[in-house]
Amino acid sequence: MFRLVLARLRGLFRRDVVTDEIRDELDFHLGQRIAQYEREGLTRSEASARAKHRVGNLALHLDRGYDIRGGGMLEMFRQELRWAWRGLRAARGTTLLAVAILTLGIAAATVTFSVVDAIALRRLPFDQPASLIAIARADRGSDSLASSAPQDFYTWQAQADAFESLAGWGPWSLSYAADGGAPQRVVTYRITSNLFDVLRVAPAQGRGFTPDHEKTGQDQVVILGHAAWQSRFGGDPAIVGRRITFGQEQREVIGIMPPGFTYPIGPANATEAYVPYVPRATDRDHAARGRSYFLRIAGRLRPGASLALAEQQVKTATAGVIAAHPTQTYWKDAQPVVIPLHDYVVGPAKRWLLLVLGAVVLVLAIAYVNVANLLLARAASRAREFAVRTALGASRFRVARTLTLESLLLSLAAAAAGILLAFIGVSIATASMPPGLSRASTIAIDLRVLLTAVATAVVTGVGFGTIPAFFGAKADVVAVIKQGGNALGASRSRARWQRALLIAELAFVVTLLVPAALFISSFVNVTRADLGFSRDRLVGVTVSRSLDGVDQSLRRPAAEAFVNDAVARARGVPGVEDAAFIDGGLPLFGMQASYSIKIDGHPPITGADQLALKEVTPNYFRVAGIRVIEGRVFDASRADGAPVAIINDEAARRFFPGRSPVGEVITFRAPTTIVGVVSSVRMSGPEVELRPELYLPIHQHDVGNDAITGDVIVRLAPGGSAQGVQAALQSVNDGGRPPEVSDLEKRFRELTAQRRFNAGLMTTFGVLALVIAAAGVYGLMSFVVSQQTRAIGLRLAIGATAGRVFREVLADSGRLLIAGVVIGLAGAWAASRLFESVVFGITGNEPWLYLVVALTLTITSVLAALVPAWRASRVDPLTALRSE
Amino acid sequence: MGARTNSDQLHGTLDMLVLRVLADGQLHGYAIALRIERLSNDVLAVEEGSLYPALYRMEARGWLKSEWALTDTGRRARFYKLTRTGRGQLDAETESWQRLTTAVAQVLRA
Repeated sequence: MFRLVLARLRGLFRRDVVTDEIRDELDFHLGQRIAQYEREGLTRSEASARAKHRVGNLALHLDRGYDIRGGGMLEMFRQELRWAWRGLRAARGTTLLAVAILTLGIAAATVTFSVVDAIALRRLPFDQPASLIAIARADRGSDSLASSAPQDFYTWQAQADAFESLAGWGPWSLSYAADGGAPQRVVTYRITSNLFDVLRVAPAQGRGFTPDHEKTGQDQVVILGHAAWQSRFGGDPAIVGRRITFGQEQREVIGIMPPGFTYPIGPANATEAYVPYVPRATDRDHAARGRSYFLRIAGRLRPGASLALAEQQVKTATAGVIAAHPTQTYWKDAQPVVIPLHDYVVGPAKRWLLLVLGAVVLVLAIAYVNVANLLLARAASRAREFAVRTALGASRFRVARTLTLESLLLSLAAAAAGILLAFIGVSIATASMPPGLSRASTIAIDLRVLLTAVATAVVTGVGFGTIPAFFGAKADVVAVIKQGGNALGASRSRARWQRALLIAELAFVVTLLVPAALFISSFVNVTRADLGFSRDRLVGVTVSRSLDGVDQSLRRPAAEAFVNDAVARARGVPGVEDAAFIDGGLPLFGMQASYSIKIDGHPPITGADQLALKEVTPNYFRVAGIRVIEGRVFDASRADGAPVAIINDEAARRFFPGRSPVGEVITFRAPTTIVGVVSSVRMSGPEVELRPELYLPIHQHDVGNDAITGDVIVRLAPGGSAQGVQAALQSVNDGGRPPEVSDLEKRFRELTAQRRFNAGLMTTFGVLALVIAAAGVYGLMSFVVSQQTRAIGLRLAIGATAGRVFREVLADSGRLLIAGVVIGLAGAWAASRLFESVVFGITGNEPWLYLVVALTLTITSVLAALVPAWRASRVDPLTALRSE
Repeated sequence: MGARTNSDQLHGTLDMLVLRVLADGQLHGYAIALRIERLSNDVLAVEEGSLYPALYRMEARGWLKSEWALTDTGRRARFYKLTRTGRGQLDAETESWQRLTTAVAQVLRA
């Protein structure tokens, strides 16, 4: 039995061997027979002829013999495969096109899902991630979760026993200068000393933080991320225990985290350094005035404790605080929520995910519809072949089986190629990610997604491989053969299908392209947005000078002298056009502090109406490119003896509606006259709303502090470099350290990176969709022309001009195009509404975009239809008519 | 060639005849055909189109075994021989055939 199976298997895979054996056997037989006839007295040629006649059709013997020897079902399957392979080879162009489209679809989907999964979806890479939670502050009327204040953190930590432990983290900033190099920002978080314990991750080298590190004086320590240790310190193992200078402070490196670890997790840069959080005296005091909400809270549930219990305890503790401090309003319109840490981490990325997934699904749909159409067209051109096979006795089931198998082969080929391409794509994606992107190193092919994409490809292939068989089964064999390839009934319903599919495809393309165009245009809008200043070649150099030991009465002149000196030095550097000074933060780097002012007849200014304070040299506005809208800037000759101020137009709009603020007197520290209104600066980014700003001349600086710190803002000449400025300012900087340089253009690119990425992604998907659509139009119109060759030839023969035929083919594709575009625009409108609701800063109300998309698709499609139309017009009537 | 019988008529009995001639020892396909023709005094002509499929079928059923070997004249040929199952099959078919022919003869004689 085993030998038999072996023989069959051999037969299955080595058909040649089996048929050769049969042929040898029959040859031998033939030889013997000839010899016999010769012995009976025939001549050699007579004997040979007679023997051959008697043995009969050798090929038939071979085939039959093989059917038996090769082996039953397996053999049938093999034969089917051969048929299918032949069929696919016969239509090489279509096959390759279909395989290519499916391959692209599968690879695009797999790579995108894999990247998204690694960065955002995969469960947290910590021990027992299900028991990790986050506590956040949910403000009424906002669906985003806010950070908490330390006061609340300590209350919950003390009172809620559903948690095994609670830890907090918040953003921090360190700067580090490699030997002699420019200081660079180090991505840093300050964390409570138990954060790593909550996550159950220990440093790979050295040790973690202890509660002692939370005490002032013992807090000058740092734990490095593995990547930062490698890139900034060359992976030097001796660094543990060494003191490193970060900006103006020294910290001892006490540990290095394991490779791959980063916290917080998200689509952000990997954390480079962790420093201990040092609680302030007011951190546990609920009665304290002023609170900062900067702490994010992670915790681990006690075994057996539920999320609901934890939340209930947190709310109870908070209610206790509210009851004990009835005058505090911190929890007015807000409440704490406890959610799984994973949701907290992934939450912000969800909208982005929705966008990416939607786009991928559309691209896949376009690819699959296209392939379905290609398969239909192919089947149609083979109607005659099927009819002949049916006439020769093949059962319809058998014909259908061949078709199905062909499609299966095609889908599997595409799946294999798709998998290969996906692997390549993922490695490219991993390599092209920004170096610090957290979890980027964990990107790997997602098997579920790969399987889904492959399964869909197979189902599509088989589904649309089988539909034509259904049409074929309905076809009247005689009619098909007579008609030369096209039974009327079958071809009509098939043609309807094909047209419907092409329309659907075009509609999908429009549905994808419009939101894609919206993303691209919104990105362009953002890059072109008026920031209120000009970021071109603008850099800021942060300098500071301690005024410790300077007599209080001399501090103002000392500060002024320092500012003037710094600006003069910067101006003297070759390649610098101009320089100015600002204390209060560079544009785009966020708001540093906000203050209230008093305006007669205006209610107290609170909350988001408070003004950002900036103290500047008079030339600041000119250097930064901030426009003067009304009034004047500060007087450089210090003629402004009495306190003067300038506000931005946002402040003018809010506080002086309908009238000019110039000349008005406000109260800020002292009665101050507004002398001008300037353009509003986007302080935190192009998409962050404008805030009121208050500018004061730096020579009126209220020097209550022990130091003056600010930025020399420098407009470089074209081709100029900030390095000279940095060097020039090193000597005036406190301690002679090289000052930190901030490039505003670079900052802008960082702020718009997400948009840039989305725009790039959408461009890729859009181009992919357009290419597939062009292939679809080309494929179908080519098919239509080839099916109608005879009719076209006939018409040309009886006098139709080539131009007319050309126009008609184009018009035919035009009708499909119009239908597809109209349906697609409706779909696009709906899709844009959806995007609009989930992605900030996207509006679907840009009719010209719809027009652009419709035009783009029209041009692409017409170009794609040109070739078949031209081919139709070049049909040679004689050849066409003779060909059937 | 003598009177030929229709291959259809022969079909049911071909297997039995092949098994019978192979009962005396191994033979190649041509020899099997020749032997049947000779033994039947050329009444039964074995068609190649029937013989080889029958051989392959019986081999597949395990009644025959085949191997390549040299003939007396030194040519390579595939030789078939009975397996034990094949021998049993021959006995069974012979018996049922004889019962059938006896019965048919009785009817014809009646």
